[in-house]
Parts: sequence; C-alpha cells; structure tokens
Amino acid sequence: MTELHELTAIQALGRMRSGELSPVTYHDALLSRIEAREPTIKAWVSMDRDGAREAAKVAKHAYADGSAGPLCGIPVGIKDLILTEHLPTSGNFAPLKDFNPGYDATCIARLREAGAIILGKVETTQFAGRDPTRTHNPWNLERTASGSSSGSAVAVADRMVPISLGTQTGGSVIRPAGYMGVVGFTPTFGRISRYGLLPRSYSFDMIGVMGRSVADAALFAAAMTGPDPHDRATLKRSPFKLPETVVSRSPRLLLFEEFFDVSSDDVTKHVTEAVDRLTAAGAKVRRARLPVPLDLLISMHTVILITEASSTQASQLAKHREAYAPGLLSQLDIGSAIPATAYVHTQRLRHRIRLQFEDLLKGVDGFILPSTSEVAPDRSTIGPRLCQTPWTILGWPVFTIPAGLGDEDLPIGLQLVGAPFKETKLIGVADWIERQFDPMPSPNAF
Amino acid sequence: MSPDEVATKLRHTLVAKLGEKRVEELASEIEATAKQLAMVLSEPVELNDEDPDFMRPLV
Repeated sequence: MTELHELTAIQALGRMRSGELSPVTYHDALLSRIEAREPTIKAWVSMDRDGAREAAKVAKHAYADGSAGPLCGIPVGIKDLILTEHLPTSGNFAPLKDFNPGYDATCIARLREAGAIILGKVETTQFAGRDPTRTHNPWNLERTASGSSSGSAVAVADRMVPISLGTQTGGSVIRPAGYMGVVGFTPTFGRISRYGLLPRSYSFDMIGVMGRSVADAALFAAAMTGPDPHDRATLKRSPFKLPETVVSRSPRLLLFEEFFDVSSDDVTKHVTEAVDRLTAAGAKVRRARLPVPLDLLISMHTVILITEASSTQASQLAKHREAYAPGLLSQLDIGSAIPATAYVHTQRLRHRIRLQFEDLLKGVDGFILPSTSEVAPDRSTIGPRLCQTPWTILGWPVFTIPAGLGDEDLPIGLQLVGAPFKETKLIGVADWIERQFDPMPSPNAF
Repeated sequence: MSPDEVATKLRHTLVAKLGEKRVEELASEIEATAKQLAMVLSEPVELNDEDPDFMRPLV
C-alpha cells in the first residue's frame, strides 16, 4: 500500500473525496515525514502547526457536509518570499525575520479559498538571489539544493508536502525543480498576481508551482490565476482552463540546439535519449537555432535584473547593508550604476526579441530543451541559469518535467515552453510528455 | 561602446558611490557585467520595431 506521503495531491484529493482518507490523518502523516527528515534536509523556515491542524479539521467537516473546495485538505509549502497572514516573511534577510504585515498575498488567499492548507514557509535564497541556502539536496547531501526556491523544490521532492509555491526571476522554479526531479510550472507573466510577493525584479518576477505530477502543478496554478486589482498585469486575463480530456495527438515540438552546446555530457546524452523516446512515441521534433545568440539573452537578463533589483532593494540596502549576502550585494552595487538609457534600451530590445520568438511558434505546440545545463552541482552554487533565463525574458509559460536519472543517479528534466496565455494547450502537451517516462523514484541520499 | 569603455564608465560611477576599495572588490564582476552591457548596447533597436507599451508587453 502506498504510504500517505507518497501520494500526489490529486491522489490524496481522490481519497479524501471518497471518504477513504481523513484530511487530519493526511496532515499528521506529512508532519511525521517532516519531523523525520527535516533535521537533515532543513527545508523549512517556519510552520503553522496549530493553524494547519485546525484547518485539516475544518477540511474534514467540509468533506462531510459537501462544502469542500477543489484543493480541500492539501497542505502546501510556501516560499519565504510570499506574504502569509499567520507567519512572518523574511526573504531570508535577518532584519525582516519578524516581518508580517498581517495579510495573505493574493495567491495565498486564493489557495485558502479553494481549501488548501498553508502548512508553513520554506527556504529561499536571500531575496531570491544567488547565494545558496542551508537546505540539503535529498538526492545527494553534498550537492546543491539550488535556488532561489530551494526549500520549495526539496520539500516536494522529499515527500514532505505534495505541492509548494516558488518564484522565478531567472530560473528559480525550473532549475531547482529540475535538479530535484519534480514538476515545476510557471504560467505566463500576468496570470498569477504578484501582490504580496517581496519583489526582486518587477518585470521578471513570476509565481510558480512545484508538484510531483503535471496535473498537480496545473491544478494548483489554475486556482491562483485571474484578475487582481492589486496587480495590473493580471487585469485582462480570466483564469485558464484545465484540459478536459487527455491529449491524444502527438505534439509538434521545436528543439533548440544551442542548449546542448552549453550542457554537460550527462545532460546532453540523457536529454537526447528522452527526445528520442518522445519521437518514438509519435512526437514530431524539429531541430532549430535560437533567433538571437544565447549570450545576448543572458546579457539582457543581467542588465534588467540587476537594475530592477538595485531599485527594489534600495531602501533596505541603505538601512541594512551589512545583512546582505555577498553575491546579492555585488549585483545590487553594480546594478546601481547601470545608466537609465541602457536599461530602457534593453527593455525595448526585449520586445523585439519576443516578436522573433513568436514567429518560431508557428506550426509547433512548444519548444523543448534541457531544464538545466547539468545535474545538481556542489553546494557552493545554486547552479547556472543558461537554460531557464531566455523564457523568463519572454515571460512565457514553462514546465519542467522529470525525465529520469542521469549517470550520477541525479534527476534530469525536460523543459517545455509554450505560447503566452496558451496554458491549457501546454498542460496537455506536458501531460503527454510526462506519460512517456517512468514515475520518478523517491530521493535516497539517506 | 567597447566593453573596456563600458567598464570605465561603470567604475567611475561606482567609485563616486561606493569608494575605491569596494570597486576593487568588485573588479572581476564589473568587467563581466561591462561585457554583457556592451553586447546589449551594440544590438540596435529601430524605431519601426517600437511598441509604445514595451514595458508591459504581455499585459
């Protein structure tokens, strides 16, 4: 019999709806799992133990009286960069260790409304920067837990919670999810309100979901979408729909060759094999080159990111310079010297490049490439952003889908990029891809 | 502008803001950022590429 912590969110929801599983029993099983693993893994910053158990009791009654929402009784881990009413949000920044404005971010309020239980806050690198956290990788304790959403990825991979929220400003959902062998999903910029997210970069920051299946990640992302008057980027978009049926048609995909040029042999070999498997299953995969050099995309990301981050952090930096991690501080210092004209030029260029990529979408269902350019490296780094950053520049929806283990028994992911605001189609393609691979085993570092 | 010229401008601004010592600490990162900034600035954006709402393109 499957242990309760091994259930995906949708499996747990099914058992709770049928009365086979009590939300309280499920909550207690996950807490036991966390208690057993957390002393080594260190994924959590804080937990709302009393509040979560009380919410599980409410969920039990909701199932009994027929009022249960679509996510009722599922405990979720929240990156410690997103405001939650009952727990502080520090952004891994010591001066903010007790920071709590006393309200939920819009995405959190929507999860609660749908019945999800906010179990606690999980580790983030400082303000989603590049300095690694204390969290350990459950696949190999000597390898990085990545970032910035390190706790989010590890908590899901290590079966502590079925779902977590992360954020992506460069590659901070896709990279850690890829390294940990879980699904990561970031919908189009403007789909999920950022109100209540401590900002790093206004024009890049996006909220994403990690889970152990495409369907899980899509279900929770869909629940958070829709207009929010507090975030104007969301105003014109209604929530996307989940696919009603399984996609039967084999997808047409474009594979960008440049990402193999920057990937390790291990990743290149296994992703090539994964693509061959998709082709054998009927996918039409065409190879192509990026419309602009990868170096240019990475450079654009740097210019915009460090300029915006330098602005968003200016007030804290003036008061608490000594509290900043060294990698982030360097970026903030240099970002403060970028000329305004250079920043605006880069944003204009970004628009032109987005049009060039749109042309490549004609006749295909999405782009595929490795999720990361290597398996999880050592703990001194969160890992490179080469494979993720181009799509953050575009603001398009992205999945990472686990594609097995590489030569070092570490996870390797396939990344799927879709057209803006076409999530319903993308979820169908992601689901098709997921079905071509065996389920990922549990991490086994200890 | 060449990467060296961009680096000189960045250093000049940063010395005024943060002092010589900090700029020395940041030397390699300033150089790397200057290369990236020079690459971006060398890429032309023509007026006929323009979108008046380029700052909020996906909204």
